Amino acid sequence: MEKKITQQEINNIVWKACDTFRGVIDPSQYKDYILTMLFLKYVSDVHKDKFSKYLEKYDGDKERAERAMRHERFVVPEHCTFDYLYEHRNETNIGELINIALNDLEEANREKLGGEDGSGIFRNIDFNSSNLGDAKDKKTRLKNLLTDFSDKKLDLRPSHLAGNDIIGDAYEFLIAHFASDAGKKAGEFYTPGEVSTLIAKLTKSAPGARICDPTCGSGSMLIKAGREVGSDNFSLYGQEANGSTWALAVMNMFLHGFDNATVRWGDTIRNPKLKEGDALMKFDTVVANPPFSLDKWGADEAAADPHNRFWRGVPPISKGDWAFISHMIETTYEGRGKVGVVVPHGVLFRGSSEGKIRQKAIEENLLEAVIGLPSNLFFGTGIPAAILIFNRGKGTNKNVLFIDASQRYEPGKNQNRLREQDINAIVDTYRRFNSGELEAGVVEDKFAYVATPEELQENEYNLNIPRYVDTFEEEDAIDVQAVQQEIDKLEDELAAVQQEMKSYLEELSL
Amino acid sequence: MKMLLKELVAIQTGVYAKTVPNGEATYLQASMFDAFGKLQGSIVPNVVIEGGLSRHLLSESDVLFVAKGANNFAVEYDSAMGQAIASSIFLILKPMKKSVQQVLPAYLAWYLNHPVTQAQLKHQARGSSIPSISKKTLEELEVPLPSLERQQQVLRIQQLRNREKQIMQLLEVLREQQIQSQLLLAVQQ
Repeated sequence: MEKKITQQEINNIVWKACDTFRGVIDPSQYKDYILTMLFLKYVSDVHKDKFSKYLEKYDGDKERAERAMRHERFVVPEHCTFDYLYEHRNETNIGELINIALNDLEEANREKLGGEDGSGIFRNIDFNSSNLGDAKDKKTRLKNLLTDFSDKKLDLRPSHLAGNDIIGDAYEFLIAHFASDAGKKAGEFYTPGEVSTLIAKLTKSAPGARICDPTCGSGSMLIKAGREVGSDNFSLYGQEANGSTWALAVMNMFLHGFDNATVRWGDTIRNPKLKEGDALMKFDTVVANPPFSLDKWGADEAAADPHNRFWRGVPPISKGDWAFISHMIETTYEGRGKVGVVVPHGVLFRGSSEGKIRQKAIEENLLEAVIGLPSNLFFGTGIPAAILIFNRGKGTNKNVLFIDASQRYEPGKNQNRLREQDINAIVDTYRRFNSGELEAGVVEDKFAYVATPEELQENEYNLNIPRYVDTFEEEDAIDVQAVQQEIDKLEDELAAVQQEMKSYLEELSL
Repeated sequence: MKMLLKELVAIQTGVYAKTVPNGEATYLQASMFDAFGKLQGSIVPNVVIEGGLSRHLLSESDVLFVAKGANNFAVEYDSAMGQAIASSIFLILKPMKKSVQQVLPAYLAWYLNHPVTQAQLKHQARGSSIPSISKKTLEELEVPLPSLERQQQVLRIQQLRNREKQIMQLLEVLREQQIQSQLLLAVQQ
């Protein structure tokens, strides 16, 4: 039996392929080339695998096998396969050939790869772009790229992979690495895996759930939330504003085998795309890591929002946090839906219009938990974030759980990391609160506290965590007598030492 | 009697080794020692001994000298530190067989740490950003050699002096605590 490829190997190969582009163009640009090529390679390999299986089944009858292939996941025309492009790697117009291949692949799979409004996932990418250098440079570069991906070890046929998720995880490995490289310039933050996992666990969806991420980025949080269900019975929905990130999300879904996921391209606030008829689609679980305090999020249009999402109040022009939260709350099922959202701390205590929205949300008994995370968890930003859990099915429980997890992490070189035990501690406490086990008051010293509505009101609906979870370390009062005793003891020893030293010194000076 | 250091010890340079989370020996670095030449905190074995590295394991009575950087000091290696390898910041002084009767390793360390010796060595340090003392410079250092008995006496007094310094530092801290808490009490009453 041939050796199966491991996650590590695949990661190394694709990371090496990036060297082809390093220095010439920005990581934020070449990541699209690499990721697209990886996708193409995957589709081609799966296609090849299936085709050889059908050939076997029909005793080498090519025509029948080809006919059978038309009902497969992807239709891959001959000149769109990776092997075809690899054979033609020495042609001068290889850039063009790749473009044609991608275009036709998209065309052949319009339903899957095409966007709703005629925008395909390969729309943003141009392998013939002069960004890649002049004609000669471009040719060598593309040839190198094709050669890197033709590595024998990088065989992505399903029969060759040790697990289903390997290819998807390699894809995410790249996205995460690129996120730490670029990202911050655009103010976009890739959500670190542990934070996604934490949100997914906190909002754990039941089988049959509809899960949505209205600012899904490359879709990793959505995938984690899906996996948390524990069966295949769920549906994923996402929307992403950035065109090339959206394309990544679509590919990411396919690579993880979530072919039925719906990922739309567009601005969630100005142009929500996930609709049923004219109304917004509703979900059981809505998770997101929206851009932190987004400026120009669309306040001008919000007051006249056709879906009336901002009836609690319009957030300030320069801080879109509550706009996203409002959207998320409005798109969950009444009476049972759950929202998990990563926010900057300002969301917890800023006043004026945001304060009013917060107060309303609390008075409606939507807010279930406030969880403070350690600082320095995110790529490219050191600010500490918090997670808010809203639950539209809180019933008679009007209390709110506060968790201060800011001291629970593993310090890293550039970034801190949540460990498994940290995640579990948070999730356990939340589950206990959720099932009604926890009374109001301190749950765990310096970590968790359950606040009553009266307390929240007393604090003027300010959710700043230190107001509830007391983490003040009182300095031990000094026992004057003990100190005096210690001093006496030391002074005695000092005298003895000095006496001894004196006698030795006398011995020396003969 | 005076002798050149190279007549008493063979001098080697430390080596570079890659550290790993779980190793067999400790990779000694200058930052692991405190002002008194004691190892700080708990030491974790962090290098795997393989290939030629075993040759570089330190043995009892080796003296380590920090040759690079502004803070040059010497410490005697003792087996209580566990198996260890010295990093390339150190020069390692290995006493020769014939000199065992003439010099105590701890005495060598003491002499190297003496302010006068330090000043003399620093004067000969080379290098613009990181001053370093060459093996050659160290080899040519003259060391006064009293009897072993006298060396013992010197070390004993140095030890007592170190202890005296430590006690004085502790006293200083405690005294500050005591006075401050008494003053605080006085104003709170």
